[in-house]
Amino acid sequence: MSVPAIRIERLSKRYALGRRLAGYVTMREVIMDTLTAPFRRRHRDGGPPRELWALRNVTFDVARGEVVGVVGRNGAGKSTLLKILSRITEPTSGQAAIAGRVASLLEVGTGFHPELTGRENVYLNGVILGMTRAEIRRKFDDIVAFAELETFIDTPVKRYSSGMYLRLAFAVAAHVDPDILILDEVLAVGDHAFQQRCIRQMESVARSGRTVLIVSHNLASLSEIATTGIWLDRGEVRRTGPLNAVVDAYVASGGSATGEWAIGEPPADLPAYVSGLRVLQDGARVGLVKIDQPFDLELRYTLRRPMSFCRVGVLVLGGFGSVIFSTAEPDDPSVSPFDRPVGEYTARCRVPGWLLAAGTYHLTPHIDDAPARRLFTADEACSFTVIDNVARGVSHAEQGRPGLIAPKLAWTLART
Amino acid sequence: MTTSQTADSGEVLVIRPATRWSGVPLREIWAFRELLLLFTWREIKIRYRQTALGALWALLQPLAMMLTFTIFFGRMAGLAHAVGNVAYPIYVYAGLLPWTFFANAVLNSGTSVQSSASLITKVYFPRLVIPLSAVGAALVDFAVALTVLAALMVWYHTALTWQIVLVPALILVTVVAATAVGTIASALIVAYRDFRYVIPFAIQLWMFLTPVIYPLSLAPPRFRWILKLNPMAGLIDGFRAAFLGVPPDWVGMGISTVFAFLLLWAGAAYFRRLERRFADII
Repeated sequence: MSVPAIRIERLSKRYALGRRLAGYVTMREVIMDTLTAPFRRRHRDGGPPRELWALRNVTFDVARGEVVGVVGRNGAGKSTLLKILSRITEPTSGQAAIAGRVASLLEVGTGFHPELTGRENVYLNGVILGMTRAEIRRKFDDIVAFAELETFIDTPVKRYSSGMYLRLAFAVAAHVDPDILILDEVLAVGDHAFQQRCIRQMESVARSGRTVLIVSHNLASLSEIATTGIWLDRGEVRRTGPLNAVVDAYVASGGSATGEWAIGEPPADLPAYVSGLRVLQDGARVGLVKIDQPFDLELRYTLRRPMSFCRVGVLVLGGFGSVIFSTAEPDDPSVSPFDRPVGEYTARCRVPGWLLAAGTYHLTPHIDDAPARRLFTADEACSFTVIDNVARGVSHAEQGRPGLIAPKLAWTLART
Repeated sequence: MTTSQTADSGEVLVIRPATRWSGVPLREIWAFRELLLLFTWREIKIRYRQTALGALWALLQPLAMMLTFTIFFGRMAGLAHAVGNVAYPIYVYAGLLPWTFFANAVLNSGTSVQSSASLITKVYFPRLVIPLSAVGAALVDFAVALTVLAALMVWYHTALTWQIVLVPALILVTVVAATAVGTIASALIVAYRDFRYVIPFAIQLWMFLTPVIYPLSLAPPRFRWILKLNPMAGLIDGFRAAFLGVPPDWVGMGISTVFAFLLLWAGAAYFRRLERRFADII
């Protein structure tokens, strides 16, 4: 048996929950705490101090060459795990053993300074990421070529567009050459085309036999890179195994993209409101939508008073809050917006397959009581993820579809 | 087949809660020397790129202070006669030079860790590199300001004595003292934000407790030993002795040196103890 690249044993991290979230204290608080300490216990009747276990007895091994995706909700401990493995913060107990040279990319462009030129930032960032200057000098031309910034490399990065900035930052990160790579949401930067390029770069890193541990909310891109999955839930390992199985179990549990939403408390003063929202595929509620099949958006809503005008619709938003498309009942001429009686309604809209590209989308349902007048809205009520179930497992570097949408279009071919 | 696979594993990094006090991680800082150099270079570069006068500021600051002190204290307060047969401007400048370095180093390294929050929460390196690079940048300014002293010495026909050979050692001890106080200040500012305001004030007070613009002989004899405990007192006296050829106070310099190294050890230990929580509290 070979030594695992990463061996994590009973790793735990506890945070004390203070009066405020920011961890620092002021002198006044220290002085007041010291002065009031003898009297405080009485009021608390000896209850335990409030604390949060960000990680609790996390144990797993990562074999050499394995590409592991870590999934879990916000606050499940994913970032804490990466921070401990990157030695940014210390565990409370337990230990992690890492065999080999590690590079951790918790963001791109760490240490970039706007006043410095692209060239200077490449050196600075590279050394911060653990490269030697000689190594950077050797790879410098490749880095600049990858970023496509040959002309601007001696310009201060404050004059760069945000796209140029990200390209350069990622280019440096992509040329770090460790045995073990630790990544956090790095893929979720830049426009879609750039993300695709980053994913391809990550894939080639993953294929080159390096060990990769990656955290991402973007299950679609994760499924293109990782082979093994770890699901963290409230600081504990809930499940490990092949990535697809772990992701499916995580999504089925109502992970981050649940494809479902229900209103908590109906608004008291509104004549109409949306009470629930579901994403359905093959008749079942899903958080993961297969790219090649149609799916339904289902809105349930309540009218408390008869309405002379009522139009119910939904906005489909992409990862950065941009509206990918919107649709409403009157899109179908058979549904009239006028004169609707009191009652509960269920509206369904069919979205064709091969429309949305792989990625995570958010749904904002709304009710209008006059043309272009919002009566009710629930911003980004729920999310769902479109996965490229066709490309997965095949050679997707060739088959993946860059782009904001993924239509399959009619082609003709004639010999001319 | 198993042995060949494990053979290339190299060293294994074990991450676990720290259990004992740790001193200055010299070996690790050496391993990160390129980062230290780059951080120092970045600080100097950014500072000079953002200002119109650039490196001239390193000259103007001590020069302006020298002129001010010469006029107000030398002429008006009559201190010029208390310093013996040395011209007061050069006397003041020889004291201001190491003091300005010390004060700038402490002030810069004091805020350095706090302002590197985005680095500290994203990437690992020995955190001591940050205050050290701030001291390094101040040292470059010191070197620039040193040329003015050389010019002044020519202007006032100051004779060089053998004591000039003490300068490198004095600079080293001053760097040690500045690093010590700077690392303590930087850790304190991260842990307690109030120190952001306390430290500039404390440095200003400290200057008046240090014989920068007046000779130690001016202080009442029964307080002199307290003033000598101040590591900067012996050092500034030493610099004057080295540059101006006045008899050196070996005991004072000795006390300062011992104190500076003790402070560095304590400062590094305190910093290392707090640094484990930096990412959580910054």
